[in-house]
Amino acid sequence: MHHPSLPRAAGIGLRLPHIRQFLAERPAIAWVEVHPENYFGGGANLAALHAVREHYPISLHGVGMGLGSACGLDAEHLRRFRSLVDALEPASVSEHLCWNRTADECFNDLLPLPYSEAALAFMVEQVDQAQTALGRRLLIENLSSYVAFADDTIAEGEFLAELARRSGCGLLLDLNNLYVNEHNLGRDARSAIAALPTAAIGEIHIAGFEERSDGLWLDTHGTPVREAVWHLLDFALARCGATPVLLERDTHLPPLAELLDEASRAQRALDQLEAQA
Amino acid sequence: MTLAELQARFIAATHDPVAAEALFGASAKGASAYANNTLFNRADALGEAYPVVQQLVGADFFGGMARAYARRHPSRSGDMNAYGAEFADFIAQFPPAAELPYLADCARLDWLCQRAYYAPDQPALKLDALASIPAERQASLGFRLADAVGQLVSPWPVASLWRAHQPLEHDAANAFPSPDQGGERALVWRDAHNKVQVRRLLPAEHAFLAACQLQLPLAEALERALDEDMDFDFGLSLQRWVADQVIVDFHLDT
Repeated sequence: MHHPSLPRAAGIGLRLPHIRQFLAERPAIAWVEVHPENYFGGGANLAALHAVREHYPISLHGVGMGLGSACGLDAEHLRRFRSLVDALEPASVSEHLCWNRTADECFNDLLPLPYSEAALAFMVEQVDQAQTALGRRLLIENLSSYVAFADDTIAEGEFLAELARRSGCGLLLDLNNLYVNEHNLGRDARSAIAALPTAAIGEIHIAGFEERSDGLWLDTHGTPVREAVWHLLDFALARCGATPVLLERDTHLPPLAELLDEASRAQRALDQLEAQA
Repeated sequence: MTLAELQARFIAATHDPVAAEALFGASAKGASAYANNTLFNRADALGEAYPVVQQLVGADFFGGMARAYARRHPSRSGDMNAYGAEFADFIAQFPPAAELPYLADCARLDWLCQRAYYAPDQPALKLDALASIPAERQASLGFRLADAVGQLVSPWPVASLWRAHQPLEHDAANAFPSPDQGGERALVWRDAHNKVQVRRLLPAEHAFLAACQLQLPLAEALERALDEDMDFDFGLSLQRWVADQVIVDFHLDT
């Protein structure tokens, strides 16, 4: 089945340890998101993903492109990403507002960019190149960050809004990341959301984090969504209207049923929105 | 400062609190989280790629060895499944692992399995395509192995060690071998159900497939196999290797 866009409903991040059970049980969930890097090449993973694709809209959510790396985009990475996009025709393709490489080393992490005019101009170019190479419009996700550059001149929300306006990309609004940044960096999540052009927001992420012993919050996607993030979801949905909402879980994976149960709370928030409209 | 310089300073700052203070001001304490993430992400990727090595040495020893490798070996790709290609060579030189001389070859086999798992899909060879080769060209025929195929010749019983560490194959036939029971030639491939398989090869089988890997013509490959064993059954071997998708194509040299 071909799905030209994501349903405005709750989905889950589908991770490899769950994929066989997911295919066997075919749970009632509107859509799923996967990390394309796990399906580069061929073999069992890709075959399973094709089977999932038969029954569910899929979002490809890249974690390895490092769009903002000053050394430029990795042509081989783009080529492999593109061939997956061509094979699956996903309902959505997204990446992060981040960098991950210097000329001779890849950090396989989501590293923050400075929020400066120069970095913004560079990101606009990179997003444009990536969208051309993939043949798709991208949703770009706001990052959780453990540091902020002392010389930043643009607020996070304004940076994202301007990136979307200039590059034509959409936005993936990660509420847990905003909440983590609020704690770690003293930023205000609600004013960041308020700065975003609602029409550009194509997807919302919710997830959980862990606390380091010195008080730093780590965005591990390893715990259930916190109450404060559920409240942010209500706030964001009230502004944006019905939007695809994804529950992400990457570490300490619980049983699939628990994830689905947690995602149903996001679906209820969407249903409530519709009832009020 | 250019963005490239800033990003180089960022990496330095993740290892250096003073540099972090200059770059990140009040938020500097978060910088170390990135160095830690990089280290543990790489070590985790090695754990995924080297399951038999991890079972042989235990999680604690493996973690220490993996982090030692991760500190010295940068990742080159945004695809973490490609990380760790030189881990076997590192293990061979890693003094704390010197008591397990077979460990490096077990790592080589784990890596061949990792490569096989993620190798690109290839269509199977159709045997009737072979039948249509005109007689006058048959002398130039050679076989191509799948990208997923790997071979390892070891002075240790690596294929038997591998089998003994597969979770679903723990039975009498796969009893833990003594590392000293002698060397083995191991074949790694991905079967028609996308399952990665490891099997011991006989000397003649290995000679034949190694010749195919060198893209030598069939006649030369056969000669090498028959040199090892006059009774090498080519027809039966070919059938099995085609069914197992070890051999996936042929070429005709002109």
